[in-house]
Amino acid sequence: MRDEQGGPVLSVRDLRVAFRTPRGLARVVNGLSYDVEPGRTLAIVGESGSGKSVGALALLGLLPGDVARISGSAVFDGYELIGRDEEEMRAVRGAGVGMVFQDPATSLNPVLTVGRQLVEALRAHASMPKDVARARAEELLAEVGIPDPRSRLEAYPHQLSGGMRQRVMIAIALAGQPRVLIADEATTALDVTVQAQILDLLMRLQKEHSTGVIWITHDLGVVAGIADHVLVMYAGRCVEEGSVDALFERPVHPYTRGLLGATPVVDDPRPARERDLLVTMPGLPPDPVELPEGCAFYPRCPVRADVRCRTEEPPLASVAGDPGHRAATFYTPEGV
Amino acid sequence: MAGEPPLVRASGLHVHFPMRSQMPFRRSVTEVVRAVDGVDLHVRRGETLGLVGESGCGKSTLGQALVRLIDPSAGTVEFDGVDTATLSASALRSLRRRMAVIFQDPFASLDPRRTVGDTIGEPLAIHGLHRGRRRRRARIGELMEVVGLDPDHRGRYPHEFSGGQRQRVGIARALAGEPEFVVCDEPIASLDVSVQAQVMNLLVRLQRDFGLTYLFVSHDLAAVRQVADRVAVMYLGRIVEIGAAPSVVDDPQHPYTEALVSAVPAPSPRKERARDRIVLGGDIPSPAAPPSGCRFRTRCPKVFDPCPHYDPVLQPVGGDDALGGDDAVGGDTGDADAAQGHQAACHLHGVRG
Ligand SMILES: Nc1ncnc2c1ncn2[C@@H]1O[C@H](COP(=O)(O)OP(=O)(O)OP(=O)(O)O)[C@@H](O)[C@H]1O
Ligand SMILES: Nc1ncnc2c1ncn2[C@@H]1O[C@H](COP(=O)(O)OP(=O)(O)OP(=O)(O)O)[C@@H](O)[C@H]1O
Ligand code: SF4
Ligand SMILES: [Mg+2]
Ligand SMILES: [Mg+2]
Repeated sequence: MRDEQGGPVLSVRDLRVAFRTPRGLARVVNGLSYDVEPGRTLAIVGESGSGKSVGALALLGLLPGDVARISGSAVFDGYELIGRDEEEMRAVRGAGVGMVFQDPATSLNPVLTVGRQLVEALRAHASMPKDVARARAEELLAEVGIPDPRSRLEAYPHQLSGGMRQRVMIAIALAGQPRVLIADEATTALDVTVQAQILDLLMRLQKEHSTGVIWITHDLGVVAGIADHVLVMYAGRCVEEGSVDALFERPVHPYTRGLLGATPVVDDPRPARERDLLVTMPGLPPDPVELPEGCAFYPRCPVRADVRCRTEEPPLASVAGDPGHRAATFYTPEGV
Repeated sequence: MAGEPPLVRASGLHVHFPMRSQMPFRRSVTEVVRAVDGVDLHVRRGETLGLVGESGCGKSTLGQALVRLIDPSAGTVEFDGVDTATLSASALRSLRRRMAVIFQDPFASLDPRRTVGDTIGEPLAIHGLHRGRRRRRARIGELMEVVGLDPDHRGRYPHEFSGGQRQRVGIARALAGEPEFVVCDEPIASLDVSVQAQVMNLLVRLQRDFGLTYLFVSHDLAAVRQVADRVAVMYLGRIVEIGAAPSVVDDPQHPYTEALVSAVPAPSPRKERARDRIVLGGDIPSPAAPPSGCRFRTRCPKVFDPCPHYDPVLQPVGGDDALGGDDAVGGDTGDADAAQGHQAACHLHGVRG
């Protein structure tokens, strides 16, 4: 195991995904590169349609092969994931890379008990007798904080609350002891109190097992609380990335700055009527079938000025004096 | 403003839904979902009252009962000083024009087969406003402009619009009857961050321009704090804390509010590292069988002896400032004024119930 001495457990380079659609080629992921380190959390943030889910599904071989064109590289533990067939990918999913999806209601099978689904997940990764798998399933439920795990094994998904179903999803994702866990909007549908429970749980399990986590979300508050490294996506591209502190304390890209300005904060002591209006960005992200030339954010950018903005695609370049912090913009904010 | 009666007032409000027995041969109604279970509340003219709480605690049911889309099982709803239960059908209909609802889901709440112009014009037709094709058309165009839509798009269908634009259609429809009171039921929940900000700013601007009164329902405490003058916190069918937004959110007095506030993620890594998150154990109990005594006791980190035995009532809490400077010296300490202060239903502030 090479990465025991450090180094990323997953390296993605220049990932691209395009879909054939009746209207033309939809270029949804356009050159994404990142590393996932063991025991660390990479957050991928961006608005709806920016390509967050598609980028993750591409790694797991879960996109419809007939319409999706995937290129680039994704090396997991020394093993190239892109271009594998379904059988090879099935071995990777779960055992190597686990995934928790946004909506537990649709990702659990409604007609099978929780126990049955867990046992199947366990036996898919390692051959073990049924009773051993069952005992392990009970342990897993206990591990994700479900009270009275033995009797919950007999429960059907609809008999559990949303928070409990999400815990079951996490238990299933962890069944194969994955080295990388991809959580796609895993707490978005939950109440903040339940979200706090799940975040707590995941961070504890991550620490215990040194799991590398990719956390996909549009909630900047959650990112600030759990991420080590953050990658901001716009129109299928990384527009800014850096340590969580760099991103929140010293954002450079006008889109990142816009997202932060649009997010209301709880702890501003002023009454609502004395607060400023939130910062808004006009318009919508571009259609992936008709990506603009130049910077994809140009049509909505409040500070566009540089003549190159409309004609040249800004490269992802290091921010001076801030190691590991990179942004794809021709704009330099004051004081940076 | 101090002496003016509230625009909306609920007293002893209950909304119970019968739940049919799951047993095949028993037809009797066995259980009742106590969605709203004893709420006293008022909304002042021109203010925004935020309503927060976990999924299923009864926020939407309360909002709909306030605009009489749902009939209360018990208790009263007064609008502008009139008990809505005493009104004739036609009087209730004309009262309805003065209230409106903006629904949560801009995808489900619009009829896919109607043009957005027809959807926005619907309340005009129902209430017989702006009669005549030309005038109605002009009014629809005006409403679209107010919410930032292009009037030339009136002939389009909902699927041709983005989520934020559909929510604007819902807002334009709600405004069509020129309501005084608008229940905004999770108006931003399904939208992207930048679009959420657009819609929140729009609601604030409309309130300023038209003097609207809002009940702003949301499970997003940061969004509520951004727009609400006062905040009510709901748990299992009850209001457990209410008061001026800065006092309730910045200095919560009920253990549930405290947990709720502590769980809201702040978009700042520095603050996140410094924070002590209160992680509640357990699940929300069923609203069909709320716990005895204090409903929050099964999850409360501060539960103590009286909690299972006495059902706490709202009582004044917080420092003097919570009573609201003006009103404390205002002299006229009528009912409405006393209720301006910060209140919480918890025995930690004295066992009352
Ligand atoms: N099978 C497909 N065929 C064509 N286009 C697709 C397909 N799957 C996804 N897309 C498009 O890819 C784009 C990116 O989708 P994706 O689900 O990755 O967004 P996202 O960033 O995860 O958004 P959200 O926050 O809403 O989950 C969207 O424009 C979507 O319509
Ligand atoms: N028509 C109905 N018949 C039966 N039960 C209902 C009905 N409407 C709501 N309920 C129940 O009443 C309770 C309160 O529901 P309500 O929709 O008011 O909650 P909420 O606070 O708005 O939740 P959310 O945040 O999920 O929108 C829930 O348990 C719900 O299942
Ligand atoms: S009354 Fe008791 S159980 Fe209820 S909130 Fe207060 S301390 Fe907690
Ligand atoms: Mg997605
Ligand atoms: Mg609701």
